[in-house]
Amino acid sequence: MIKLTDVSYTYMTGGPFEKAAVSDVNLTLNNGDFIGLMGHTGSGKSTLIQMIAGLIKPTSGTIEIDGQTLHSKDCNMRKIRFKTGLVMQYPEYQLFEETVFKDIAFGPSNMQLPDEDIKRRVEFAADLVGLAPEILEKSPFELSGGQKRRVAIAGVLAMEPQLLILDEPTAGLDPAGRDEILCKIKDMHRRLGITVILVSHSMEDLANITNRIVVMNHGRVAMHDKTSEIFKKSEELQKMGLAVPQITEICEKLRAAGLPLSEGIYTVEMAKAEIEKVLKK
Amino acid sequence: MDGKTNNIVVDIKNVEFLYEDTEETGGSRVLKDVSLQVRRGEFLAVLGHNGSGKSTLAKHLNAILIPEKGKVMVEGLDTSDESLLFDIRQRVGMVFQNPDNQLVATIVEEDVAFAPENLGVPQKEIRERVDYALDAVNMTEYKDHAPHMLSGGQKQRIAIAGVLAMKPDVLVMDEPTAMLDPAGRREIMETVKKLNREEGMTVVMITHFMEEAAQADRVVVMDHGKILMEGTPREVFSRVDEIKKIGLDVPQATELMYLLKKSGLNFETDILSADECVNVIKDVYNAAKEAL
Repeated sequence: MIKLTDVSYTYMTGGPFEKAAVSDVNLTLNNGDFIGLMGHTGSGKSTLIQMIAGLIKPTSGTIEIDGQTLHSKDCNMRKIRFKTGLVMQYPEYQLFEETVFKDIAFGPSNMQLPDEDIKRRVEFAADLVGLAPEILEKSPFELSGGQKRRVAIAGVLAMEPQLLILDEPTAGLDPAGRDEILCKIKDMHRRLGITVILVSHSMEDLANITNRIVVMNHGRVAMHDKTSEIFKKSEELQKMGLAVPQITEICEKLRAAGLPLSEGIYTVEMAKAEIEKVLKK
Repeated sequence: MDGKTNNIVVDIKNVEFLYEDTEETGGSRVLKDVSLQVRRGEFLAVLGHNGSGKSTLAKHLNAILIPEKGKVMVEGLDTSDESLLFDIRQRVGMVFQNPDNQLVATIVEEDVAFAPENLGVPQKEIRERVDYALDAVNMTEYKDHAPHMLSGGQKQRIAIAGVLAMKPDVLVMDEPTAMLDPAGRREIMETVKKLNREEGMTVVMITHFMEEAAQADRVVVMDHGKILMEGTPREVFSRVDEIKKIGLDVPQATELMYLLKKSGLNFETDILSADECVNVIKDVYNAAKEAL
């Protein structure tokens, strides 16, 4: 369980450019959930995930992960960092090794694991993100953009984190590349039972894949609920500079026109099933 | 309108291109015999998966890349003639994905003035051009702000203003909304449509967002270095199966109609927007209700 209590973060405290990025966040996330994190640019999403990953320390408030308070005296931050994997935006720019294998192995090597253990982890992580074994001996710089990104994600997975945080993993990818990465992440979540936090601007992606969503607005948590509940609030989301998937907009308008559809439809398949039922009656 | 659309601003003739870094491309051609004409005043969207050659094509429009075979003519100027480089770049302005890589000055209006200053435009005219460009992207009230304190959508609009200050004839944008949040994406689409419809600016926009392409006058779909489809958004997106086969998507409204049709309901699949889709379904529903 991840528990944030009165968490705030201020950049450049005391200076003329002091800016509160996150204010008074109280949030409890359960293990095993697939959580979507959305909010407009500058809403505090990235600051929040950096705090959860233990990279920056809250200006005030506490973050507990499985009963351990981050940055407290009796908390082993090194261990916590091994438990939490953070995939940053455009992670393909962080590749640096001679071969894909070495790049993925960098994290586990730093965990001082025996060689055969590292090899097992690298092969497992590569398989999870769908990289063929023959790619492991190539230079990461020979690969396509989508492949590079999968290598970067595999590098984090090889740490075998219990909590995986991804900051816009599909930005700049085409629809096929996007579906492939999301499908792999969904599959990983199911196979490994880990907790996933996915930051995204794509409402369609979040609708298709998450079971809970946290909405940030001006540094505060504006909503936190099941995915189906979040997309019932299209008006509020739009006021925050966000959007609902086009399919949700269509179903809302049809409901307004008198069609008996459920509230909060957020995938094309759901919409198709309901509209079909209504029209074929 | 017709006289206008017959006027060709950029003429791409049988262009072939191969990057020298053959390891990355596997030695295959990035562009294979591509011919395309950009018409004056049109809003043209270019779609295609990663690696389909669309960014490479865009870079041919203002001589960032020179075709290996074939020709690109910008208002009659051959992009392979190095002495024409300045004239060509002034006519065709480019906006890229990441606004942070395109802003150079510490104050918004200085940033917008960068290009005309470098072109040696007289001081008084620079002032006029900057005011015009900021007004065109609706950012006049931010002229004294620092670019890095603005939102992504605002920064990208400043980048567009920077290009407008050169007074180009064509605005080429390579995934200008990829890094923006939904509000930022809307801002950019509104700005682009306004420039196109009210100022008559020719726009070429590369995008991965099908809803954005659906708003263009014409869509070109690239696949493996070739132009695979070309037509109005309605024509292109009604070919749902083909689009999906090459790893692209259609707008959700189009997909819904397509799925309903497949399941036996008699719907057209050339639906593009949420409102069109709502109207069609609503009519069928109301007709069925009356029949009872």
